[in-house]
Amino acid sequence: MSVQNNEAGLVRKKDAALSQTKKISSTQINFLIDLAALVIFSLLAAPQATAISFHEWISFVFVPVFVIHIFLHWQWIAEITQRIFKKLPGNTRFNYIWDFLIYLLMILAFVSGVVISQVALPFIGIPIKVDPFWTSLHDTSANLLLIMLGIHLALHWDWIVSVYKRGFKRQAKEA
Amino acid sequence: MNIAKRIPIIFLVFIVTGLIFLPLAGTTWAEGVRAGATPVPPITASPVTFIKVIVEICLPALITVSIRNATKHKKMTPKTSS
Repeated sequence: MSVQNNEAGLVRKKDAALSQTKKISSTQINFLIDLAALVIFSLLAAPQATAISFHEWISFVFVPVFVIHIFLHWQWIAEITQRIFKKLPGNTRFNYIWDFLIYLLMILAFVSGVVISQVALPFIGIPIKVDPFWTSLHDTSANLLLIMLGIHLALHWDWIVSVYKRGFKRQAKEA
Repeated sequence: MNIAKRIPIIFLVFIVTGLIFLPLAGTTWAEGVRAGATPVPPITASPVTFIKVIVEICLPALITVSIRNATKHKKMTPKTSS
């Protein structure tokens, strides 16, 4: 009887450990997607350094990463959207509005980028005439995005540091 | 809602929101920008741009973190009554 109890206890402990590992790994996936988004965005934000063709093609890689980033935080977005006109902590409300502005600017930068595309659109057979209006909007939105992204990172700095310390540092110690 | 449904929906919202911006090209504001536009010089290879990107991201981040830390520190420090 006591052996059975011990075994059941061990199974429970194992399950708890597994669920703990699963929980940490989902946060780590989140962290890695965010890191990938940051690295890809930093690369595409410097067309002078990477050449225009790389800038345009990597933008198409960035969009799915951006969508996955939104998807991974969908629970939070849905929750705050429902409560936005109710009582909310100030920093949560600010975060929400800030993220929404980043989302709009990101779309504006993407749309204006596609419209003035010199490589991707001609590649698929769509000739374009560069409109100075879209060029100006693209430059302005991209430059603003960099600053807003910096603030977005700072607003989540505590989370970044804690995930890094909890996850990656511990794994490095165990290895 | 499962993942298979949610990701296409987010993509769709992304595209639809993007289409909303397209009519901007026909506004008087756009005409004004076009009229005042100067010819854009061709992009020249310059690795220095990476530094500009890093500075543009890190500087606002550093300022925000410093302000937040300062505010936190101020909140945590007990007030001394005079």
